Amino acid sequence: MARILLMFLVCMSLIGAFSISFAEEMHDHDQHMMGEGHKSMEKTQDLGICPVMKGKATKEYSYTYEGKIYYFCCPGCIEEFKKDPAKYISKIKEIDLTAYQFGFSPEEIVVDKDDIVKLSATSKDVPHGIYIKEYGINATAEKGKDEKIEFIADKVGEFDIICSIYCGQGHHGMKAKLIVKE
Amino acid sequence: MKKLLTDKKNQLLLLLSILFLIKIPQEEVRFTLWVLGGIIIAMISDVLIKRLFFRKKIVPTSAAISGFIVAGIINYQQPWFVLVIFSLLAIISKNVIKHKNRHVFNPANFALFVATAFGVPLTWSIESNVYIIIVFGVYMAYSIRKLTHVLGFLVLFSSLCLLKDVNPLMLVSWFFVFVMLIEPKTSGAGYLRGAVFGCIAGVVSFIVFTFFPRYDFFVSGLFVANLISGFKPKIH
Repeated sequence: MARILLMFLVCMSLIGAFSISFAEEMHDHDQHMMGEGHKSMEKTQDLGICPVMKGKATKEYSYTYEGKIYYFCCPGCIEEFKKDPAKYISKIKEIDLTAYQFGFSPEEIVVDKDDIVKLSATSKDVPHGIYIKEYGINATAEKGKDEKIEFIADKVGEFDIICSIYCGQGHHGMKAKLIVKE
Repeated sequence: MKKLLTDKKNQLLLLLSILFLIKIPQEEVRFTLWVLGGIIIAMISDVLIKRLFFRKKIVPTSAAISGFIVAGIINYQQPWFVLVIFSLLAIISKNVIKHKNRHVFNPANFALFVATAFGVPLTWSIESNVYIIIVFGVYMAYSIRKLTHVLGFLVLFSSLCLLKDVNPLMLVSWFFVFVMLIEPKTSGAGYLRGAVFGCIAGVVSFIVFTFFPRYDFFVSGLFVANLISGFKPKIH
């Protein structure tokens, strides 16, 4: 009985340790997704990243430019945006990413450092995972649904985009590349 | 040598080694180290647990198989502590979660279930050649009398997939069916019990696939089937 109890404790402490590590990783990920401007996370409607300060955008601060609504983190950012909209819009990269058995389209996503990358992910067939380890992204793309993924490309290099959900016999080879240039 | 090759565990180890060798040239060096690391961690931990807690000396063949499966399925780009935790978890589950002196869960599958619950990506890199898996799998399932497990799973899972307009032949993991599902000690003995076990795994896999796609549906299906099979009364 004592042996079993001891092993149960070992088991629980392992799971506990992993939970803590994972929670820390997720905390870093949340901060990363929001940029450095706003460290606290609110569970509100996700309006993405402010194109000026790169903090979390809110519903209160929006501005329509050429028929498109942009959301900001504060009134100061709206004023800054109005001075030179093209400068900020050029840093936003909107990409449609389609997952299918067994690949991604496009196979390569090329962006510049500090771009705001907005992925609109969907699936042609069965559910697929969109996993970019270095950016802490782990989302699910489903047929008929549009999964919005937004992040700041603040790390230079080539990163694998892999499918994290089993989708068939070619699952293990399903990859795309995210290339972030200096 | 002949005796060595006729042992079912050794045969399975041989299959896993072949699949591993096929995959090595296609992947980074880290993959090789990752899988070997998983095997070593599982073997050492099993030997130590058996020695320290049960005063038994063992040859850890089953642990090597569990380590192979865990490391071959979890994405090898994860931090090393992930490999250590889940390889250990597989072995600990085998020695702790017992009912009537038999372990309830397929050890590797238990660890993989916890991994998928925590959002760890499972890339199934070890599934490198489906033809070898199918040929070996049919032979193995027949020789250990687990064909009804396979049939039960395939019939239910395929039928439900077809209802959802999904091609089951492209979706099904033959590695899962012929290596994980038919694990002798946790999948229940007997033809009827085997068929029921396969059906449960098939239905649960489909439910998870449809409603909870974030989680690995095969691993979840087998987890539930193990749970039910481990505690339910015997079917006569």
